[in-house]
Parts: sequence; C-alpha cells; structure tokens
Amino acid sequence: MADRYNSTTRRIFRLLVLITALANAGGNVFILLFYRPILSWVGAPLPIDIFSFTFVCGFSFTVGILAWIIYRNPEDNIALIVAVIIGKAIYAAFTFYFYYAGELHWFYRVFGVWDSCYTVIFFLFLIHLLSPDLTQLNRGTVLAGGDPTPRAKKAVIIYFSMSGNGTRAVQRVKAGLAAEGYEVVDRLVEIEPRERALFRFPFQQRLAFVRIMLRAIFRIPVAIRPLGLAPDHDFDLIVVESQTWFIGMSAPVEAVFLDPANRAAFAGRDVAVVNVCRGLWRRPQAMLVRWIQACGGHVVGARAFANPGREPIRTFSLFLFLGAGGTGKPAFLARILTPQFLSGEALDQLERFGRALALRPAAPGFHAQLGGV
Amino acid sequence: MEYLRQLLDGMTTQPFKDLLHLLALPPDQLWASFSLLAGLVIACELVRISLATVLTRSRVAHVTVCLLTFAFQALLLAFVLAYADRHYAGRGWTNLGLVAALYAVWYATGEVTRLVRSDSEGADLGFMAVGALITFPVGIVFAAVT
Repeated sequence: MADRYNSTTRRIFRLLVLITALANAGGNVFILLFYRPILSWVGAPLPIDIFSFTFVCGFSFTVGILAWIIYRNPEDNIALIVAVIIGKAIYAAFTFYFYYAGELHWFYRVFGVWDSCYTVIFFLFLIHLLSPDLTQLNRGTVLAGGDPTPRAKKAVIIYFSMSGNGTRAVQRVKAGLAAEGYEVVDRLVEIEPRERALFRFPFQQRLAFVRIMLRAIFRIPVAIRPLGLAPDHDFDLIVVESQTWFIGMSAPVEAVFLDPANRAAFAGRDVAVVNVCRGLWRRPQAMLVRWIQACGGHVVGARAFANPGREPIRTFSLFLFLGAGGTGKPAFLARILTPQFLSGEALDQLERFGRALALRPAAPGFHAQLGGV
Repeated sequence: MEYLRQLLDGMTTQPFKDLLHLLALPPDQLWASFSLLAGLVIACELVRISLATVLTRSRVAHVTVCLLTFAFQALLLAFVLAYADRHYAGRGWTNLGLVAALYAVWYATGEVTRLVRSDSEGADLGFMAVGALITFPVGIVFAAVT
C-alpha cells in the first residue's frame, strides 16, 4: 500500500489539485480586489449585477478551499472530489451556455475552459483513487491469510457455469491447489427447478437471452438450492468463481450471498475470487469482492480473465455464440469468430494462481497461536 | 392556487429550448453543438468507469453503468442525427462525420483512464460497436433519404 502514496500518478494529480486550489482560492480574492482594472485591460464590461459577480467569485473561492482539503488528504476526501467534479462541471457548463448565447465576454470563457479541464482531471483522479485494494489484487498479489486457525489444506470452489468457460477456469485453479497438496471440493451452484430451464445453455426457452439480460441489468435475483456449507466447515480456503452477466456478477453466484444462511460460511475465512468474461470484469469483480467482505470473508486473491480475441469481433462472436448455442456458428463466419473459452495462457495463469493460493502466507496470528514455532 | 399559477406561468424553459436547438446541429453553431455533445460523451464514459468498483450493491448504480456502457450515448447520438436532419435537411453526411468524431472522443476518453489506473478496462470497443450499430444506420437512412 505504501507504493500507492508514492506513485508518480498520485503526485502529479496532487500537484494539479494544488494548482487549482491556489488558482480558485487566491485568484478569486485577487479578482474581487482588482476586477475594475482587470476587466478594463481585457476589454470586458464591468458587471451589471455586482452581487451575482461577487457570489460567483465566492462560489469559486469555496471550490478552491475544497481542492485544498483534497490536496491535503485525497484518499479520505473522495466525497469532496465528487462535489468538486459537480461544481466545476456546472460552472463550465453555465459559462459555455452563456458564452454561446452571446451574453458573455470571451474573458469568462477562459474560466470555463479551465473548469472543463479540471472536471476531467478530478474525474481521472477519482478513478485513480477508488478501490485501491482491487488494483493490488489485480497485480496478481496473493495476500496473507486472515484465518488464524491451523490449515486443514482443504478448499471448496463455488461456481456457476452455463457454457463451460467457468468450469474450465475452476478446474485449473483446482489443479493448482491440488498440486500443492490441497484436497479440493467443487460446489456447483444449483438453480431451483422452477427457474432452471431459463438458465440452461444452449437456451431452450423463448427470448431466454433477453430475459436473462434484463434480469442481470435490474439485478433480479434467482432462486438457488441450499449451498450446504455449514458455518463451521473445515475448508481453510473458499474460491468463488463468477462469470460476467451484463456488467455484473452472475445471478446464481450473487444468490449465494443474498441468502443469509450462506453468509456465516464466509465469516473470518480466506476467500479467493475468479472472474471470467468477454471483456468487462471490473464491476463483477468488485461486486463479488465486496459481497465476500460484507460477509466477513478475507479476500486473499482475485484474478479476472477475458476471452481471447480483438474487439469488436469478440463481442459479436459472443452474441452469435449465445444465439446459436455453440461455437463456430454460423459456419460461413467460423474463420473470423473468436474463441468463447479462456486461452491456454489464461488457464495456465489460473493454475499458477491456485498454487499461489495454496502457498499463501499464514495469518499473522497463526505462529503466535502455535507458540512461536 | 394563484401563487402556483404565477409560478408555473413564470417558469423559464429557454435554457432547455436552447439546448434542444444545439442538438439540431445548427450549421452556424456547430462548434457549440460539438462541445455540448463531446462534454456529455466524456462525462458518461468517466461516470461509467468511476462507478465500476463502487456502489456494488446499488441497483440504480448498476442500471446507470449498464445504460452508460453504450445505450444512452448511442440512442442520444441517433436522436441527434434524426433531429438534426429534420431541422437542417441535406447535412446528413456532415452530421455523420461529426458523430463519428464523437465516437472517437468517447473511445479516447475510455482509453485515457488506462494511464491513471493500471487495472482500468478502458473503452469497451465491443459495446461501442454495438452502439454504432444503433447510431449510424439511423444517420445513414436520414442522410440518404433527405
């Protein structure tokens, strides 16, 4: 985590934030004091409504103070960054509106351009700062375990796979764990019989894909059968795999966490996450990791893999795969369609991930519990 | 009731009319229209990427992310092409070029996020292409017909 605070990107952003803090706070005091000569030099008319002019300067000064607070401690002021983004975007939008309406001198457009640029800068800083734990995990880091109890060298893999891509992924994680002496149990999430037909691939129901997509967008849960994982289970590692379903985690895997009866099984346990997708994995991964953390699980590793191939043909290949119910269809497009399963290299990495999980460092309290052995 | 009537009668809708006017891509205010749409496209992409790892249990956030992945921008730009053609017929191909430039801005915005975050997905060219399949056929039909 120390790297985060010393990164060049963070330093550049803080410098930019400092510049706008000084420009907004200092510049507006300066303009308020010297607006008559300044406006005269640039050929702009004196403000007709001095109250509005002063008010805008006061607003801009306040944004400068907010920027100063952000500069001092960006990580603890995420909400202020959002407020500054909104403030600067609105200021820029209104400035351009009145400029194009022909009611504003060009001099004021300079401030509009400045705030437009800073809206983007603050957005990028926000993107840089959010969820740093996920960035660390996505570098391939396997963290020390959080469960201080002695390891049973037993793992359970919870997954749901319609097309078989997820199954291939978890089999390689399983192979990696087994290679390091783990006994691994698969636990396929089973959908309740009344909804099972909808989630069968190749799709058998009319408009099944559209229905699943709409359910995924609106996060409509699916009923699953009990997972059967007791809170006092003897697995020292849980691996959860999820496929991306329209930019979210798959409904059956999310259903595992929606059922309060399953949550205790994750509390205090080491959990690893595997995401498999066409191309978008960040949000599904974040959803899965946050669910596990909400249940008290200790996320020790997270890897996400996308199917091979270049865009945009990869997306169209996926739609054709889902529509046709198999790869290489229609036959006349078979040569340009991209594979719907993870590459061999990705699968090798997953096996290495399994090994790394098996060899993850012990929880800090573990050796103490063994009497310093 | 009287106060309510006065309030409604005095309502200002001019800014919204002006914005709608800019969506017609008027030839004398093309730069203003482009700035407005570019600003919207940039904001949509940055909001989408910002929301990727937060508010993970919020249904509203999730629907927003889904809409901003391609649907909102693609439908907006399709509307702009149709609306612009209704107001300024015969400029269809120019407008298509302008919208193509907006797709380039959209893509560039997503890709820039890779510079500030190593695990950013960047622009999703796949879904952008799906969006293009919504936007451009509308523009091509209007350009060809008028």
